[in-house]
Amino acid sequence: MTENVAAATAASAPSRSASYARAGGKGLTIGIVIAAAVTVVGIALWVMQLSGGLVQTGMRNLDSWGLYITGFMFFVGLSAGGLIISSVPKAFGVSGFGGISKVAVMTSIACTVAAIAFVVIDLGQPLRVWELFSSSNFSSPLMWDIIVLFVYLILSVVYLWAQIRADSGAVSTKALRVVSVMALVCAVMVHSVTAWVFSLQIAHEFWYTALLGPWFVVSALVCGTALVMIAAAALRAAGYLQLDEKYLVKMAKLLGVFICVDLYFFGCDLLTSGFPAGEGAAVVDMLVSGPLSTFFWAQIVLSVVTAVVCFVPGLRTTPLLIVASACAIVAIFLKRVQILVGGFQLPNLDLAGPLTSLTITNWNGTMASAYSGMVYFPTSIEFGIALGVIGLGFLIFLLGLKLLPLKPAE
Amino acid sequence: MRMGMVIDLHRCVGCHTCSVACKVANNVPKETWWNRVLTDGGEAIDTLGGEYPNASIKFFPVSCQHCENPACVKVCPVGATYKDPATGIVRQDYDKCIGCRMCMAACPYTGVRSFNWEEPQNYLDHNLGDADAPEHQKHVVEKCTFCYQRQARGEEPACMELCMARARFWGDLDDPESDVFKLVHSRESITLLPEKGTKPSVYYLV
Amino acid sequence: MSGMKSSQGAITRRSFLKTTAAVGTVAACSGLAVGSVALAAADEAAEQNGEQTFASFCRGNCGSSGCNLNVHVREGKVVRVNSLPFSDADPKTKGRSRICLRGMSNVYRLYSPQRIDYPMRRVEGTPRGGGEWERISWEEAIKQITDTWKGIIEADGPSAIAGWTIYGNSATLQGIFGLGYARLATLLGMSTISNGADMGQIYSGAALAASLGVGASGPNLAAHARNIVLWGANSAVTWPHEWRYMLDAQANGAKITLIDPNVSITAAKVDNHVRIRPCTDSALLMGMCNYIIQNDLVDTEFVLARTNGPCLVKQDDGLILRGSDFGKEFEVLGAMPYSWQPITTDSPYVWDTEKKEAVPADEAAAPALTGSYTVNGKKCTTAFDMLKERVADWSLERTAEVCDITPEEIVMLADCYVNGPTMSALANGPGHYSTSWDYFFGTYELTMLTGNLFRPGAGWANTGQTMTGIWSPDTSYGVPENAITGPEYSVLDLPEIQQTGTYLGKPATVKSAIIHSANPLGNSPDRKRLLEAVDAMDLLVVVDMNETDSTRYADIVLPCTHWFECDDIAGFNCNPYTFIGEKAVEPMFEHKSDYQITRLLAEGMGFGDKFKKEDLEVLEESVNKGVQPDANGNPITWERLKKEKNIRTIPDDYYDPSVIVPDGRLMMYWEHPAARLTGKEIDVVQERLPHFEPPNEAWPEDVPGYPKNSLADKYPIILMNIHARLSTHTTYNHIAWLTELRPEPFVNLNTEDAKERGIAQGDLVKVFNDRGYVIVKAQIDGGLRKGIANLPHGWEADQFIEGHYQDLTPRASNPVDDNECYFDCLCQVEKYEGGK
Repeated sequence: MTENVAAATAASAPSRSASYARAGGKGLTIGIVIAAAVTVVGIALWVMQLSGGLVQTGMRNLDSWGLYITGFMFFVGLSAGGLIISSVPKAFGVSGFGGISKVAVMTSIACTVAAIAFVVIDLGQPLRVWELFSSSNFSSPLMWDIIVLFVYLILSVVYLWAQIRADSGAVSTKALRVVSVMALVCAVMVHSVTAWVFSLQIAHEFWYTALLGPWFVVSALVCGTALVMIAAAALRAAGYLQLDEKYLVKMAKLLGVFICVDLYFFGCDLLTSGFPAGEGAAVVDMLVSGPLSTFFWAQIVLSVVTAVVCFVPGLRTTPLLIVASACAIVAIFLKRVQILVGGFQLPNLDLAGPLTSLTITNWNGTMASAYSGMVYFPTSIEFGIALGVIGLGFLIFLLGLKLLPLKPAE
Repeated sequence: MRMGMVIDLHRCVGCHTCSVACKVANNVPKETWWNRVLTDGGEAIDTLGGEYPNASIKFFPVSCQHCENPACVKVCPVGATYKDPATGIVRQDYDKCIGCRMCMAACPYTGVRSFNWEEPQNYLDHNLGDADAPEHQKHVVEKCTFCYQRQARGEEPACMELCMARARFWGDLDDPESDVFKLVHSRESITLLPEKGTKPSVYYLV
Repeated sequence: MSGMKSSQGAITRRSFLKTTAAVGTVAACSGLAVGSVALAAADEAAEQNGEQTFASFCRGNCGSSGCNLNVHVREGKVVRVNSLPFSDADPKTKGRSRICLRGMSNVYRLYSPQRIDYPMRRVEGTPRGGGEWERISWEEAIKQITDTWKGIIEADGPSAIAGWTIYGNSATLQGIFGLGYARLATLLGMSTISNGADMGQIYSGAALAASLGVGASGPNLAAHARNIVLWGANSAVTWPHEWRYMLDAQANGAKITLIDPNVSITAAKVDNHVRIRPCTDSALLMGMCNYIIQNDLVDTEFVLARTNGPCLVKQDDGLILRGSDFGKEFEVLGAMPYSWQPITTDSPYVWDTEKKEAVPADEAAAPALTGSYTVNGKKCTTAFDMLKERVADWSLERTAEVCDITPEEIVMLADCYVNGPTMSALANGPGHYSTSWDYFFGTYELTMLTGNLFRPGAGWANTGQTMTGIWSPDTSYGVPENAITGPEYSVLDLPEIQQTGTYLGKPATVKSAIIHSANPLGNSPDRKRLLEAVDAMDLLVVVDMNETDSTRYADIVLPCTHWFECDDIAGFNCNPYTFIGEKAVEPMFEHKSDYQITRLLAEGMGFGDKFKKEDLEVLEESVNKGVQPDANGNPITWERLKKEKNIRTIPDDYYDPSVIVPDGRLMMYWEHPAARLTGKEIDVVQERLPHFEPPNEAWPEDVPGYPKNSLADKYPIILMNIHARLSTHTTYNHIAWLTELRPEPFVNLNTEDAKERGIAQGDLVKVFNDRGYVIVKAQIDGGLRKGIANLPHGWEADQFIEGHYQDLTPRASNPVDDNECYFDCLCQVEKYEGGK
């Protein structure tokens, strides 16, 4: 199926692609160097965080997860798109998206590594990760997630390898199809399990919903598709590959559908939460008019923009589609922030008690004032380390571009 | 056996003595409280809520509820938080904890778990409290242990040692002869957040 | 005075202690170069977990100190303090054993960063309070102090050197009863700067009833009282360790009624709450007495038998008709401790309705309670009738109007007393005004009228806390031969003394003072004036274990041992035991016991030969010379105390049937009103019975008959500093874990008051009046009555953003008791716009 190279441009391809490849090569190297530098800075900050303590982050006892777990959620979601975009056509034997399959999987791998890295930087005792193997507790959704993530990463790599090998005919189409089906199942699982890390927590009104699993899958599709679109458009612009506009449009239509489903799920969830006017009403208030309303409304607006661009034929120009994709990614990120912070924003016991600098991020007042705005906001070291992880993701992706034959087969 | 606690809210005056007793006996690090007395009243601790003259205040001493069905135990990926089969006490193995804080997210009882966000700070140059209280560690989650070390010696938890108002009772909730059993079965009591299904071993007489 | 007996029985311990305090210099010290009992015994002490434990007790002034402490020591360091159960306590319930968060925080206080390690001297040329110190040796310190003192004695006499203490350590040797300080002071003839805190309560108790708690129910109050009335007490917060008896009483069916302007934590626990206008308690009492008298609810039998109510008062001079009026000889037996009311054999006379003549009260078959009679040509009226007349204007309606409550509430309260046994918990909420005296006097009248004394479940108690022990150590070591008792100056008068050089028209000056077991510069009112008075001194010496507002203002600071670093025995404790305080650890730096410090000073002053005894010798002697036996009639000895750690002094069902008052009768009528401080002028006729008048300052609203204070237009809010649970005065206010519970001072505001001023929770505000200001955070407290702000008591200068709350409090007082009137204070509160 890598045959989906744009036939129309095939004739002039060799010379042009050669020159683009050179330019791309230089740009790529610069990109790799930058990504590596960002990664190294991130690692240095992480070492600083470990030695000085997580007290340097904005997280505290009553808001014990923050940007890192948001990043984890977000990157797990991002990782999905590439793989799904790549594997669905293969798995179901339908026409694909024009030769971007391997690149798409590469984005998945990079995002999965980044997602795992986000968990690692959040750990207090990363040197004890061996405990995960020596005393595994299989009732823990986090344990499930760790297992599924690793399986997913391995499968992604295998899948990529299989595609590359398939290009040279070493792997049969059938075998590739088997791998793609496994990868697809695993992708769906990884999002569901990540959702379960949250949705099985009866402690948090906002999280405790059966909808969260499917919703995570859809969100993953949204931002995954958007990421592949951006990557494809960028690589095309850089001359790394050639892609017919129709594939972009095809993906855009999918993106439009996904984001509408995502919004629909959100609507369902808000209705279910708010309708009984019980405790769930607080969740709706928090999102619609409370401390997270900026995130909520921005997400809605960006989602609508995405949908409009994707659905109105006249608007589906490359620049606008990139804008729409970016909007979708940002919208999903905002959604992740709402989920994470929102989980901590509504304490079950909000009675006044001793408040110290370790109790809650905004501890210098009362419980009420600590929750009056966003209960949590990251510190600069968190942004720095998170940036490092993103750098790592880029590094892996760019290295993949540089070192692996990810271009569509001629 | 299911060791548990009964707290008489009518007798509790919110003096914070149990909180301090806990802190000192377990050498709990600076700015960390395993056992807190929460004010159900005004916005600030120990102030009355409502408007004069219809002001009101109540106190809830809250620490780990040592649930029969603990949310934290299930989610810990490495089994660092676990239920002691002999006593029903929910314990925490500091040496095993990877610091993922999954248990903190899972526990419905806001704030009973704490994380050592930095190297645990002693108040004084030397360790306070019980010699056999486990050393605190950086970047691990901890909480009330029902003073496991004292319990092992046949003593009561520190918060129980001498509640001035005599509002606290301690014992085996499965033993019909125990004070706690009798109180739970003879007086009106509540548990915190029963809708969460965690079945706390801490009962409040109302 | 300690040997004095009343006609009814032995002197009580409390009155005795107050006597000691009145003598003057009080305080204590210990020291301890010799081996400590406890440390010597430690070898045999059972070691658990590598720990040794030592018996100690809490000595801060929560008003009910004396919790027994168990001090755990590991590797030479105190690691924990918990409760030491009383030796006869049931192991399961632990009986009356107790401790609170303050007591157990002593482990921090011992090793606190505030601890003073060496003798320190203010750097020459720097101002007092400037914070620049140099370490000096003990030799230098003692030499400088004693050289200065010798110069002062030569120029101005020994009374220009003052001993100055409050209630910071209620122990016998090292604390406020400190035998060393007392001995030093009386050897030198030093003056005393007398504290006025709670003197409305203390002096009225001493003057009118010999002692508060006399005739009161013992520890088993809960089993007997039908009603408990808390007068302005927030006992659930300030005496949490006593509150259980209230709960037990409630469980036994007693009704607890609180009288308090504010809704407090205690109010949330009681059965009835009467929300009275601040400082109208005496009006309420007048109204209640009037109601009881008018409705024939008086316990006539009690009044006739146990009070001077039936005694005939001569209308020409207001004195009681006595045998001497008939030319009979009499003997003066002594005087009431502290108030010096004469106790004589000069029998008071009553009207015998059968004989139709005046007869000695003890001989009357049918004494008249009311009526006017002419005896010896003199018109006489019963004391009861005089009270009746005094309260006659206080109808339910008028009382209700003044007190801002309903007539029904007054009736309900009166019924509480009529349907006894009823315990009156007389706390100091209403005790911090210029009119506090009358509130206390009024409650005594009420209790007498309703016979709520000398029976189980009734009486006057401090705050519902149960009776104090009876036994007390002998304190004669503090009063050596040739003792010179110097003058006593009220701290409230100190600024005028320093300014004018006179006191009550006679030359007076204080050139040097030694503060011990106290932090007057953080706790006494009108702080700015007080600091000026101190500035007029040549040398201020402060002995303390930790930095305080007082040490910061000193010229020389002498570091004393913490309670756990010295030996002592209980001095004043409000529980039915007495106990030992063992030395648990060696002093870490150059700390010396208070007693050793007085020895050094005595040596420097040339009295070394009179201070030969070591700490343990003094303690042993004062225990063994103590008179009263324990609860079982066995003598209390030093050996026993060392072994048993605590000894029960009164049984649970005890109540004190004795009373030391003139004629053996409670004083419904105060025949010889006298000011607490000799020489102060008072209105004798008015003070013989209680009366109501608005307080000096805290009267911000017009009430019919009582127009508002003229300051109220500028300063409409009454500033209270209600005691809090995390500190006892300024003790414990720097305990790191307690400051996590309450990181900084704040002023609590009524919801409406805050709204009117645009003040929200957490805003910085300036609280001010003409005397001073303080800048703190505001907290909204739904429990405060409109027009009342509460800045909880106990914070120090270093904890405020600017200023000090004691800068606002007044010195103006009532000459009868020279009480410190912290709540008699008007202020304004406004949002503070300056930065932090």
